[in-house]
Amino acid sequence: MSELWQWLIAPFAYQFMQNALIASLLIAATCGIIGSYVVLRRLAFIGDALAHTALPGVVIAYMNGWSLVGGALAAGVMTALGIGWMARKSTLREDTAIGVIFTAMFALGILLMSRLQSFRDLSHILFGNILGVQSQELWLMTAVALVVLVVLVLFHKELELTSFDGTHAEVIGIQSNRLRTMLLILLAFTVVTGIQVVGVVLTSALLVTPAAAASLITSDLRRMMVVSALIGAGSAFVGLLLSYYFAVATGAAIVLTCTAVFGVIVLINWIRQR
Amino acid sequence: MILHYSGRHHVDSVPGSDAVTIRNLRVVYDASQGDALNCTTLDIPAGIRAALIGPNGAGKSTLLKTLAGLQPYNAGTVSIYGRPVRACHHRVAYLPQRGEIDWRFPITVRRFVMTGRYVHLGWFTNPQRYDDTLVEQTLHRLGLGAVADRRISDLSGGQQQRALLARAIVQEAELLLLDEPFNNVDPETRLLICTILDELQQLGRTAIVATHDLSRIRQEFDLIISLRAGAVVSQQAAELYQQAVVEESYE
Repeated sequence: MSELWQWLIAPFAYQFMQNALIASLLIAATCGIIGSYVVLRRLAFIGDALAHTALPGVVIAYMNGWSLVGGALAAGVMTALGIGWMARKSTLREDTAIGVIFTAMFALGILLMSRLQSFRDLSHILFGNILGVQSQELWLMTAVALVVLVVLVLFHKELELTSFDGTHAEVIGIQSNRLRTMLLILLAFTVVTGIQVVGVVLTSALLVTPAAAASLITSDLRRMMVVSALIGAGSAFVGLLLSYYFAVATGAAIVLTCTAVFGVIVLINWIRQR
Repeated sequence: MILHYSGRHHVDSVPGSDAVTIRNLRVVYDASQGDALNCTTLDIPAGIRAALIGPNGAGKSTLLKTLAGLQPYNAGTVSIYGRPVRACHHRVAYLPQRGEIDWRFPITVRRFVMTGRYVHLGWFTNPQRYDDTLVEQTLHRLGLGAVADRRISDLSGGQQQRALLARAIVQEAELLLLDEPFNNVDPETRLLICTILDELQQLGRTAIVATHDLSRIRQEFDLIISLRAGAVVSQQAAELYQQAVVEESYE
């Protein structure tokens, strides 16, 4: 028993592993909670787009010596507002418009990046750099997680209602569009912190996979959010350990752990239904 | 203190006014297709049950959506109890065709019905004891007590329609707009809906129901409004209603 305990806690004797653990638990749980809306409102594609469009924000911030997280946040919020605006004004289908914009933004980010001397930071942004999280970034992540949680709690009943019956919401005077834009902005905040853990390319996995797994075992949105947060945080912990002991990429290990949990739940469901 | 969803929540109705007054209303979806709705005069008195009949595309749904404040209109005036549309959200309940709701969403029947109370709760307020009691009573009245804790996805078509009606009842609305409530429901549900509409009428509430089902229309309604190609072609008391006119409107 004590050997197992040693195996579990030994990696966290290092400061960088402690930071990584706190950051990944916090972010995976937040992603799991807001991810429930991503799954139920079919926003997975938008989540992915928000992650990708953060790239030019990060690069521009880097070139000017601004805060990288600040650059990513600015780009994410602008994208969220842009998507909300486009959904109302454009005759294009929303997913088409998003597809055009986000690939262009991502390409712009890569283009700007290629003009820099060093490509070293690119892989951190693309694939995450959880082991390099600094203490001051932890504070920012905590703040983001708190803001997201508080807003989701305060507007829970309206966000829930607009997710399945926008018509009734409109009839009683709730402006579904504004709530949706608010949700997209929260999503942008969450995604930017998610980039730190698993990178631009894999962030949507943290949003979608735990929530998808949770949706298979609960019948209530609030419970789904809790279960999803637990699956996300648990996978983050296990993924971090695996990456430490087997020297593999942390972000990928966390995502694949989520996927494994999802697979097990699908399997159990399948067996129970036979 | 209640933070209403809409600032114009507490507008009192004009005493003695009709439930619905429409003058020269025009709704156009697509200019090349002509008017979706073109209604010169329509008055629906308070406290009656009105049926909206007519073939598909006659404008029944459009009219209900306009009254619910969901459909912007291009010209004319629409008053609900003497006030503009959307001036009094709590007073109007709209029951969409069932397909407009995401029934796979993870929410229990009880909580679904509770969303009818939200207009009275406003932002940042959770349901109170009165809301719980009202929802519980209504669930039982509509025969949904046994499925109250099930997901809405588990409901049959008739149960879904009853859940929608339950939500409108807990809203304590004065004007109920029902879009095709008899579509694909079992006979018991149909009977129950009509009984409830009858009870609501005795409380002075008004119901406007779009329907294709004309079999018992003279017993189930007081006023029959016949629409065709977006226009009101006839409007008369149910007991005077002739089957021939009905058939004509379906030609």
